[in-house]
Amino acid sequence: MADPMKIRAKLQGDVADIRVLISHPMENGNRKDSDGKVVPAHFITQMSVEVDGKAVIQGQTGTAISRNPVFGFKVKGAKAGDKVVIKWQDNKGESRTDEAAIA
Amino acid sequence: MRKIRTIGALCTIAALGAGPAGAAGEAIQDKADAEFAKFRAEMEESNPAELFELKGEELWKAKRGPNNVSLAESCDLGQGVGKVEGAYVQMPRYFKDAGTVMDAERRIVWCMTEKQGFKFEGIAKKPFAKDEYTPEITSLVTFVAGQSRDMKFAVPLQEPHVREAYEIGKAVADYRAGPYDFSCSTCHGSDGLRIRMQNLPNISSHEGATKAVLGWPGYRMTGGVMLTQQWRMNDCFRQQRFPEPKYVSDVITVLLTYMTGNANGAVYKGPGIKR
Amino acid sequence: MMMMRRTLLKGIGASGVLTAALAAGVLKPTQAYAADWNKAAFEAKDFAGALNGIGAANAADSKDIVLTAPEIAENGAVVPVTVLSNIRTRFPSPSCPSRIPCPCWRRSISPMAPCRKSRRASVWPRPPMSAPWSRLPTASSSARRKTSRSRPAVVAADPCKPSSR
Repeated sequence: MADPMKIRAKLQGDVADIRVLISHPMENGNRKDSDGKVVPAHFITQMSVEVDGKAVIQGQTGTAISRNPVFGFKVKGAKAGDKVVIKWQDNKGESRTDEAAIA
Repeated sequence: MRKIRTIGALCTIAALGAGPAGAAGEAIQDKADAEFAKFRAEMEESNPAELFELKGEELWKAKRGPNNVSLAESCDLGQGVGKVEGAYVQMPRYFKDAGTVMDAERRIVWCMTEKQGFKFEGIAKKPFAKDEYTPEITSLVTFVAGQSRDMKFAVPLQEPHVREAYEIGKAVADYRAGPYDFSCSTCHGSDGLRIRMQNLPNISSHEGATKAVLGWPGYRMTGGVMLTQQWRMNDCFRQQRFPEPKYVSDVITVLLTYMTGNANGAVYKGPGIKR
Repeated sequence: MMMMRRTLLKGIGASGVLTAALAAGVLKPTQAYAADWNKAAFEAKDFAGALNGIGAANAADSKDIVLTAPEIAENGAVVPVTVLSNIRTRFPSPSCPSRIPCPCWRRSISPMAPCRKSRRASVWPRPPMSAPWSRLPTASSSARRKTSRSRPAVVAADPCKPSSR
């Protein structure tokens, strides 16, 4: 099971500012380690953000995203207490789901 | 209207070379500084360091080691056993049970070896983060530092042992050695110096020292690793071509006492983000 | 242009940066992910290839998607990129449903879809005047319509945004 994500969701008016910090090596498969061996690709490929049960973001990401990525979303029409569920899946099949409530 | 912010390698921007320090050079420097400041501010809003803070909190509260005791119930960082709030900004300080002045990382290592029963060699073997490996001590230091967010630095310089460490630190900072005859002051002893695009803070002044200690422990974007002040000092020694300092040794502690003491009164913003 | 944008959205399948069109009921909340990872697009060797991969082969510049990035990045490996989408989407709610009855058709339509008039000049039954989409064509506009049958007679007002574009 991958490391937990840190989700921060704050309401500013009727716009929810959601920020998620993900712990992931995000190897693009081109880097060589100190022994000269290529580090195999290991990166997040899909992620989804749901607010109050409705899908807000369905994203496909690639090797351009850096290690321990941070994503921020601003969603209009959210209410305090709405549940934010974020899940991701990577190219090795690992996945992680975390949730938080909008403050 | 929805805004999505992702952090990715959009493009590699060639590093601006270190040109002559003429008027044109300084103009570029100022413009670049402004952009960097904006860039840093944006990055600090969502700092991956917080992930390590969470990890550190887990480690702090977990019963670990041969003695099966948690740091939360055994480690005194100067504010009382298990109390972390405000501890980081009051270190380095003198600890009677250890008989010496210690900085945060050194104190936590001491607690891990004395209270939890870990072996020092085990911790010192790989004390710094590299690639995907982040040592537990780094996460612990990040957690402890995070608990002093928005508090003022208050190294107890009036205490005789700390005062002594401060004075030794000052002397060490001016001590030239190594094949290049460098001292800390060579790079960090005057205002307005820089290496390529990195400004070098003058640690002998209050403003410079503040710049030097703020942001540590810091998440370094190059390599995506969490690093502490112990690492930074170790790396400075390497860059001066000094012999490698022993992990959490006295020389690092006195230097940290000197720098943090000079920054007394400045507000600590918590773990930061570095290039 | 509308069709191009719809194709773009469908083709992309919300890859990376665009919002999902939930209003049409295409995406169900219980689905894990809308589409498989778009290998072709991500492994494209040039910009044109990448656009082809997401079905946006002839995408035109538009202010609906705005990308911003800093001029100088202190570290090229970590650059914050902001994507701003001005494409209107909204969650269906009782005051803003995903489908409304269309007096012109037997089927219900999306509130934003054009309401095509039938061959009959008048519209029956008339929707209640209080309904926000009650601004329907009268006989005079149907006369105009005879000249260009391909274009819809009226675009029903979006009940959720009083001032549509």
